[in-house]
Amino acid sequence: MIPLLAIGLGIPFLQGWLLVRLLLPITLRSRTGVGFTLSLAAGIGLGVSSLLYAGYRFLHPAGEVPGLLALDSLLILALLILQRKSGAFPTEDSTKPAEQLERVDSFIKALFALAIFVTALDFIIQLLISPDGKWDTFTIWNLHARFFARGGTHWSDYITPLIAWTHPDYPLLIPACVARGWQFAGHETAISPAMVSAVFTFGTAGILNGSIGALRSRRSGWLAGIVLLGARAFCRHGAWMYADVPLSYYIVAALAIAALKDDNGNNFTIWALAGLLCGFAAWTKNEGELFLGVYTLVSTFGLFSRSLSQRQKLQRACGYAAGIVPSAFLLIYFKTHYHIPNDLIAGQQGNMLHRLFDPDRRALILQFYGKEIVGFSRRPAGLVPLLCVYTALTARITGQRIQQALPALSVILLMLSGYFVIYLITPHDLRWHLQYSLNRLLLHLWPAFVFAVFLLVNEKSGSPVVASMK
Amino acid sequence: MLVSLGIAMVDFIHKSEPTRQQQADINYFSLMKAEPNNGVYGFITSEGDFRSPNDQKYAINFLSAQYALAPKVLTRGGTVQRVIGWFPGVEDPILLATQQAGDVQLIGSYGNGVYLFQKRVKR
Repeated sequence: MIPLLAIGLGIPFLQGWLLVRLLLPITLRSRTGVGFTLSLAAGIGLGVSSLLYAGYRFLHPAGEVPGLLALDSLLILALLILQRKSGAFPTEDSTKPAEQLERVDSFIKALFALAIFVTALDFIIQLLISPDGKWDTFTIWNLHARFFARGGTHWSDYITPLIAWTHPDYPLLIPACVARGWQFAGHETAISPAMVSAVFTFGTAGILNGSIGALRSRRSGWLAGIVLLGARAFCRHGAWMYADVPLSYYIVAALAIAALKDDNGNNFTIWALAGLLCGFAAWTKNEGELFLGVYTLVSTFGLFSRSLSQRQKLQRACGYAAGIVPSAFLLIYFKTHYHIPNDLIAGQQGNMLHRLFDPDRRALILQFYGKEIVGFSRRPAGLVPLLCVYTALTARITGQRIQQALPALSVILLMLSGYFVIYLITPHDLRWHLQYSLNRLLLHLWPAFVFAVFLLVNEKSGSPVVASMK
Repeated sequence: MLVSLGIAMVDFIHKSEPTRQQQADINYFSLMKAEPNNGVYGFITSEGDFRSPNDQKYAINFLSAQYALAPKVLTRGGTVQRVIGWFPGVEDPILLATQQAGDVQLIGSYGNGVYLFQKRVKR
């Protein structure tokens, strides 16, 4: 059964790799490194395969494996044809700058490797302790996956007010990936959700390391990876197979692509890649829909504030829209066809305005924001204040740095504001809601925050990568 | 990271029993195979009271049972035609089921304290 599972998980990776080769220019692939490309391919592949799986189950509820295999094969064939037509096959790039590493760089690189190793060990031990994950895993994500894998034509039986506590309106990326793995394996192995979760946990480190490495220096890239994995909450939620880590992956990946594309010069395919990542964020969690809106707003503002021709603007907007369409289409179909109410909207009962302007609620939310942000990662001295101090001491504000970090900082601020408004209007008990969700909402933005910080902090002036960008 | 790893290793060394979800999968396996793959069932248990909305013990057992029995859909208590009872170590499950779900008859016993009841039709 393990070989079948390997095929089931290998196919998405192949699809993702072909898509990345098609959409990410070779210069960027070369600059960001193999780790970045593989991390991006794995996340995109899981997103694509989840769309195929869910789309197939919408049209053909029984959802047998041979049909899925046929769909997967068709997509791979189409991507291969597109690659051949677009000439995306060359593998060598001569523009990659050579970077001389100092002894301290080798030490930091070894520390990053150690951080990955320790996180991997912790991840495996957590999986052995809780193979079914924690609360949200077995009451939401893996429960939905079980309906998909076991239910046949009855997979959508969980979409009923009778078990509204399982949040049937939640998007399908994670359940579809997990159920797909189970169906290929022929049984409900814990390896399927664990592999999906591992891809996103370590993929986030790969994205951060590769993008910061390309935009600043390899040293900064490794440091960023160490800081990311240093947050216990991030690694633990990854090992518990919560959907918050996959969402944080798509957020930071879309922001990294935004920073890289601005630096590299824009084209249709890279905007399509950004759109694809934003669409997958929305397809992962409801909060991802907020991110999609915020990212679109920030990108549109960025696009129209630059001196580009109408044709260039249109080309980029079309690329971005084309990337979003597959996820948005299936998400809208899922939410409208199955008539699934959302607990936050359905529970309003006309009191929304009263809650929105209640000063006590505002004060309570701010109090929780302060407490959670300072105490993020559940350490006495949280990493967030440390990073802020480090940034304040070392930041070198230049036009280029602001231009690169501004989208990420704007997205973080707008997301925090969006979450603030959602808490203001929540029909649930506010204290309870904050207590059980705010730390995970902050987790969505943790990799993005580390990314923004490392775009701002000072860099040794002689770094060849930085020098090559000037 | 290293402290976190150390704590995880200690947790793992002390862990010897199956998790709640693994135990639920074992408990409900026979019922899962015997009954149709869909439908709505009530859920009652001697390990918690469904009538109390804040009973954590009931909630955990109910959620574990739902996870094990998917794609069957479970509801709290005995308001539907078929009711699943989890009564580990209980000598008279019918008496407990009647107290919790009203007039029911036992239609199956699946081991590990798992029973299936059906509401009697009123004439």
